[in-house]
Amino acid sequence: MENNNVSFPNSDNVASKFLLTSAFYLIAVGLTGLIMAVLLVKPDFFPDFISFIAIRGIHIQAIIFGWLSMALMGAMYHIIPRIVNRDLFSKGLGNLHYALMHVGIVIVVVTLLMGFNTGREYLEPVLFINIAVVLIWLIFFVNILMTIIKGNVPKFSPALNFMVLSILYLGVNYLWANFGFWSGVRDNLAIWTFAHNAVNGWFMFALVGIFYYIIPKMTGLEEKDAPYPHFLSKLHFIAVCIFIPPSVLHHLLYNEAPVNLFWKIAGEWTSVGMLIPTFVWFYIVAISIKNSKKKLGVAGKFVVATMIFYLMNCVQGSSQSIRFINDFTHGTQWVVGHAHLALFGFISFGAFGFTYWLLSQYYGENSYSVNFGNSHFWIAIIGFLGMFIPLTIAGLIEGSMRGTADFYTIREAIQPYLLTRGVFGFVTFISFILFATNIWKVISVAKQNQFKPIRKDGIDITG
Amino acid sequence: MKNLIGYVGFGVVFLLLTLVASFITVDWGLEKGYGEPYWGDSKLATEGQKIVTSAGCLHCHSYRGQLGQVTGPSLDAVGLRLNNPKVIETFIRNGSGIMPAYKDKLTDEEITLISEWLSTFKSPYEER
Repeated sequence: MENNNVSFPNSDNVASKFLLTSAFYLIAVGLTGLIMAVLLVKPDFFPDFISFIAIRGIHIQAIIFGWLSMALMGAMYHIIPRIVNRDLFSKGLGNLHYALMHVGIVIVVVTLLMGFNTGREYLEPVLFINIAVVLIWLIFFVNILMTIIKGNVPKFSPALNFMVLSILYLGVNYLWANFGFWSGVRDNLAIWTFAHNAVNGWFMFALVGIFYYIIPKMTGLEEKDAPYPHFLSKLHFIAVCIFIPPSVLHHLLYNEAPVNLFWKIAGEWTSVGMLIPTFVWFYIVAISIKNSKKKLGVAGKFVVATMIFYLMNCVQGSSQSIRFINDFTHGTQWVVGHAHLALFGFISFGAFGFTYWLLSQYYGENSYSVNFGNSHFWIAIIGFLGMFIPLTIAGLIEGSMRGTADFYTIREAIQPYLLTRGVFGFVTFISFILFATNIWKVISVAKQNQFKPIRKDGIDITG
Repeated sequence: MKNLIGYVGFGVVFLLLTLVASFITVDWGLEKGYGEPYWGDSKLATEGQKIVTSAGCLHCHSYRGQLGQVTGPSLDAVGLRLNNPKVIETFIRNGSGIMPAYKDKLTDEEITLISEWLSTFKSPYEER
């Protein structure tokens, strides 16, 4: 299918830029998270101008659009041209997209610090930024679409299907949530439509697509060597398409949410249905890793961790979507733990994995320090579990105290757990710095080569 | 190409269908005044909702586990805990602990209005 005579200079140029810079936004994410963790334990630790509300918005926006979107877009700029066997449509548009991402994120941070905030979670930036985001998305989408149209689309490629669907999910849900001018319960539903579909649609589909391309390359099990029947990937795709959109309603189950019984039940049971694609995909990746013909290295460690956290995340998510469990966990620190499991344990670990792997394809496996990579992995795991476990326990404590007269002492009861979260949050932050240092090493290697990919034995290994 | 359009098209069409259907029918069949006072459509409730959202209250507080966050205490029974609008007003004006003071950020009328609205929040915890 793939032709080694085709080279990908545009794709390499744009993708390597995205992959080399996304890591530095992670430091902003860690720093804002750390500030909030301190504020929750010692509210008067920082001077007044450090507002929790602005910091929270920056934390969320930096992880959505800074770190994860940049990394995923970088990987897509690398992978999609290779799947359709044609170079990226336009280097200019790609670089424009890259520059606008930075400008956009800076504007978001500045406006949030100035106090411009819509007050809607995940959708904090105000209207003029939303319009800019839509334009940036259009630049990205047009570039990818033209590449696909001019390219040679394979007969069936789960990787391509998932990636294209993820881009469309981002666009559709962003437009729907930001430009709908909903009110009351529909506004609430619009917020959760974006919050849920940004994570489950944009991030997860994109990561699934990237893994469908990367795992066979990483393990040397391409095409007919694949150790699983191909109908599983079709089943996976159709199942997520059916189960994800209605499962948004599982965010509006608790108490007297003004949602009728039909949609509550639809939200509950489509969430439980999500267990089908979850286990299908877990099987696909796990069996590939098990039968791997190549050494997996640092990236492989992250892939295995990603899949374990993915399974944890989806089992947790499906079970807490059932109403009698939801009554207990809703609106507690449990949810904070779950959010970190999804965005850090699952998606970010996946992004660490593919960033290491793609960069090793560009600049060779010695471009980053393996020791640093391994310490990054273990420190991130310790830091993450140290945040996730106390938050989950605190959530259970909160849930059990909520209906009782002890309600007033919840804050004191969960204080030690919040403190533990802060301490391990610092450990996590160290792992981010290690990651950024490692990427800095890759940058210095790449610089000697004018950021052109280094080919082994004169063969285009990036193909 | 055919496969790509078929699969992705199915995904997007199903997403759009679900969005349209759920946004149209989400509250069909619920009796009038369901979820008062938060979801109410009185002038106090509509104005109050608008201010509470734009002032950033929901970045920490929540109402009945719907909109909002878990950092601060929920607003479910704030009218029972602080059983006078004036007390709520003092909290909003001067802040407490991690909660910022809003006396320079909101006008006096806005603070009075949301205090009045919040003092009607008296959902008992037992009704879960």
